[in-house]
Amino acid sequence: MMEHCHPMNELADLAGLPTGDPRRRHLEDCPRCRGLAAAQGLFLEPGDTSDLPDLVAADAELAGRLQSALATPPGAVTRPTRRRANWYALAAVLAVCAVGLTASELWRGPGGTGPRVGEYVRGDEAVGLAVTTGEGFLRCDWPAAPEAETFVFALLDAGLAEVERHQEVRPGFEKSVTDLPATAVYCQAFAVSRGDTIARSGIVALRPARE
Amino acid sequence: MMLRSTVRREIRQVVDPATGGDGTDRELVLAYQRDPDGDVGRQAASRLLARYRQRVLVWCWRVVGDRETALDAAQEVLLSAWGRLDEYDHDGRFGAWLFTIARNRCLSELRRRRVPLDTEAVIELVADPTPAPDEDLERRLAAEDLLGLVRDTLSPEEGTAVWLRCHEGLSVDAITRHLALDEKSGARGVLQRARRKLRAAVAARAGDEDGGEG
Repeated sequence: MMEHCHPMNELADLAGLPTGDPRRRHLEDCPRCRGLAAAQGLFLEPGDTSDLPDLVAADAELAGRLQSALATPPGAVTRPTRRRANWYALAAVLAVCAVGLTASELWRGPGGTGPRVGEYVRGDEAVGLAVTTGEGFLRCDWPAAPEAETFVFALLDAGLAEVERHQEVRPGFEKSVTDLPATAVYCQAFAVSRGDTIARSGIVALRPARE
Repeated sequence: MMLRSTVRREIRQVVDPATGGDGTDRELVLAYQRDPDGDVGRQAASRLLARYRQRVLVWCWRVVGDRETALDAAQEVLLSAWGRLDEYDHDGRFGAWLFTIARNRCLSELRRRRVPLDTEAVIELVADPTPAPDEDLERRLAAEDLLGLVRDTLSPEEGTAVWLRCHEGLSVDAITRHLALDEKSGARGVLQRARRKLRAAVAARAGDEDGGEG
């Protein structure tokens, strides 16, 4: 670290300073600050991402993982465990896990393959939501939860906010690609029985289907 | 009670796109910090993390190099940011704060794999592997020396390429794209030129030292 090096959180603003400003001059002279500013710039503006194959699908998978982590089903741990956890907290977590495991086993039955909210499992495989296109139509199929009475297909924007939903009595729906909301990026399906959601699919990107 | 409902309505306007407010990063953090365990706070955090989700994933992928490790790392980074959001003090940009978390997580992954980083990586870049490794190089070049050498010897573009490769662990492809290099060999060519210049500078300095001693 050279003399007058700037903290990381100030680097992004230094390039916008007037040319004669000593802080900007330091940024131009110091390989460390210049390198870190370039790295931060690349993080904030990743540019062309064609070097990363299948980024849209990977992003959708990450969105699904985060949604699960951020969801707050009753009794679940809703936030990442803090490092300040003490022995009492650890004991409480272990107790919750034990109760959860027992309840899960009871619910899934001796075969261990029953449906559960969060994903629908057949054998050991989660049943995926398939998004396909053909002749200008988008088709979503989710052959899961035959006991469900209705299926809801939610179209989500990049921030996972719902922009449109379709309620169907069969586990699929079709829509003209040109009628899709411009902000719709992902789709997620829910199986509903007696007014309760009994299973949900992962979040799947629509973009490949649009192209 | 009235004040509380007014505040909640204002926060909801910030985080609810249906009411027209998408919220700046600062507004979303504040909305979360005011109501960390409520729906509004959780929604604000969710929107904020979604805003940066792909950027975190791209960074992790470009540094660690494979999809699955990148997904795990990105998930950890975003959940770690969420867990520390109530401690975020709005000093500087939220993106810069998140970058620090992502950078540290990825560098930890590279260290776990024993990938050379920092001074060690620059020495590896500069050292001539033939006919025998330059055994004296590591002894002669401390981290500060190296930064000085980079500053005095390389162009800004070359220095940045060396930093991104050796200190951030980025792939040559990612550096080529970032520096918008149109030459055929991309960042590889820039790094080779930097290597030649640094070697020459190290050799010249070694000559000066020998001359000084003699």
